Amino acid sequence: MIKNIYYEQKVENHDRTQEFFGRFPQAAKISCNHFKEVFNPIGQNFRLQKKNPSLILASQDGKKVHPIPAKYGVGGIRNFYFSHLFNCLYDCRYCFLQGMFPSAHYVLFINYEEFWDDIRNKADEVSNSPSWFFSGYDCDSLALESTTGFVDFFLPKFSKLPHAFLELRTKSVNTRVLKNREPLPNVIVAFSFTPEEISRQLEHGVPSVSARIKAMHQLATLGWYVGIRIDPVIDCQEFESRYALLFHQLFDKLPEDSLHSVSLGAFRMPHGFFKKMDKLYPEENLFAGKLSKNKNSVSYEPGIETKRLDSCRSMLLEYIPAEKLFTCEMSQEK
Amino acid sequence: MNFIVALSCEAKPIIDELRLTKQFSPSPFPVFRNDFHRLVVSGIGKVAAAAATGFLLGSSSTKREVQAYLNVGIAGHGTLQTNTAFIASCISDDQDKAIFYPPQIIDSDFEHSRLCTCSNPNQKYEKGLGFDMEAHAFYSIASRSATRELIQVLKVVSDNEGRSLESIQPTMVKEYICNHLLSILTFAQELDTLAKEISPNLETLDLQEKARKIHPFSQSQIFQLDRLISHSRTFDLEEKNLIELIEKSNSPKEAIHNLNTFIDPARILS
Repeated sequence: MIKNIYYEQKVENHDRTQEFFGRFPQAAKISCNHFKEVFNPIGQNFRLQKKNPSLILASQDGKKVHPIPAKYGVGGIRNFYFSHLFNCLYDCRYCFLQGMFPSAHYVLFINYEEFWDDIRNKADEVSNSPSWFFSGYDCDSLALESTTGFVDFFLPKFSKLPHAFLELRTKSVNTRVLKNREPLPNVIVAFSFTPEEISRQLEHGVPSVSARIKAMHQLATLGWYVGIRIDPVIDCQEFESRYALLFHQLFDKLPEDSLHSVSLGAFRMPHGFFKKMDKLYPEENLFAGKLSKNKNSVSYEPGIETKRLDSCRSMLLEYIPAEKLFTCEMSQEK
Repeated sequence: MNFIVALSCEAKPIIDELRLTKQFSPSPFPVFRNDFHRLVVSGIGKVAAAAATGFLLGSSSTKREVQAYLNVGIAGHGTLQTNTAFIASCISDDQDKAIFYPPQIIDSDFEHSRLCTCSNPNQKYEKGLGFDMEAHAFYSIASRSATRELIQVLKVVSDNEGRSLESIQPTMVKEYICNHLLSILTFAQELDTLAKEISPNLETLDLQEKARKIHPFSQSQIFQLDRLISHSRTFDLEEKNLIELIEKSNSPKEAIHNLNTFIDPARILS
């Protein structure tokens, strides 16, 4: 439940702002000139704010669509991300957002129409080659859908732009907005997973692995393309058996044609983010693991990372063809 | 918990309720305390509030623990009725461009309002805005070294369009604070709970201090040692074993090496 809504004065009269005010009548409404006045100050504590984040309504006036590094894609050549929302409903201890953002408040950029204009323009730059747009980099694409209405707005738009592909990345089981629509061939709903034991330790507030698998299977059965994101891969005791079980559960009942892609990513973090996260949670086992710093990044020691990714890769290839598997590995950069 | 209060009549109900006693050691401001709380009576105005806040920050006796800071007092308001308590959710200043938005984590029944800190008593009551003479200076200084969520401003409306500033008497001020004392102290207690949550583990700090004394560690070795001890506690390794290991080592370098070797097998998620 949102208890405080900050809003930029320039969006006060925007329809979406008024809709939010109506939806949260009890919330304190606090105006500001620019969202960064509230979001950016140093000396805020992400851990404390995560207990009760406020909502900041703002307009994204800068660049809205950004290119992503080549190795992060899932088969496309032109890859972009956009962030209509900063921060996530969930509290995953490995998440880089807690190291990147000074605040845990949700910043919602309500000028969806302008985001769409930029997405369409980017896609139309090369209309004979598909462009990919990833929406879940700075947030969970679905978790706050009932509040933001983001998917509800964008899906009809993407349905008319077949050379643009949208990835919704999520850990949410709140899939009603998708179930209520005809599946779109250019939209991939990508679910992130770690084994249940790891999820219980690190993914606070996230629906159980079994609930997510069920939600994914339901969407696949309805005809949606789904993606599976094993990212980050977390080193743990009984690694092989836990990941083997997870993969079995994931692929056991999944209609083969509905699987768009599987991506595998090592736990990795810019060093500055890691330092901040470690300071926020000094008692966290994950951060005291066998990690090493290389240049500006922190990841598992190269031997561990390679071994764990290789292990996952060979287990996954028992279920899926190699062309559907994409890996992001830190060690290769070193 | 640290209270910064401008006037004695604002402070009195808090002092009485928390049974704070006056500190008689030399001090630029009257300070009242018990084992868990400190209260400083700053006097009126920005400079006094800034100085008193700086004094509290600098004279903290529990430097290892994270501290919360709460400015309590009366304020004028352009909309709210007298005797209404509110949290300052946005603090501006009549002569300074900086605006503060104290992050609101605690659920309370207090009203929320913008607050403007003025250099002189204000009698133009702008709608939706509170007026005081200390909060901005307090927040400006406190936020330089304390966590912003733990710095808050609570005011009780003493004057508005219908009730002039001149009519305020010390007994009324005391009554306004008394009327909201329970809520103010509950709020303060919740701030303290948040502060505890992010305070360093004192047992770990003690263990680190103990370990540092065993060998003449260099600064960079102290950094490594502290980190190793912190990690060892993360994985619940026995304190006794760690100290023995360091003691048996022949040099600081060997101690670090031995600790690393000891902790390494535990460094994996269960």
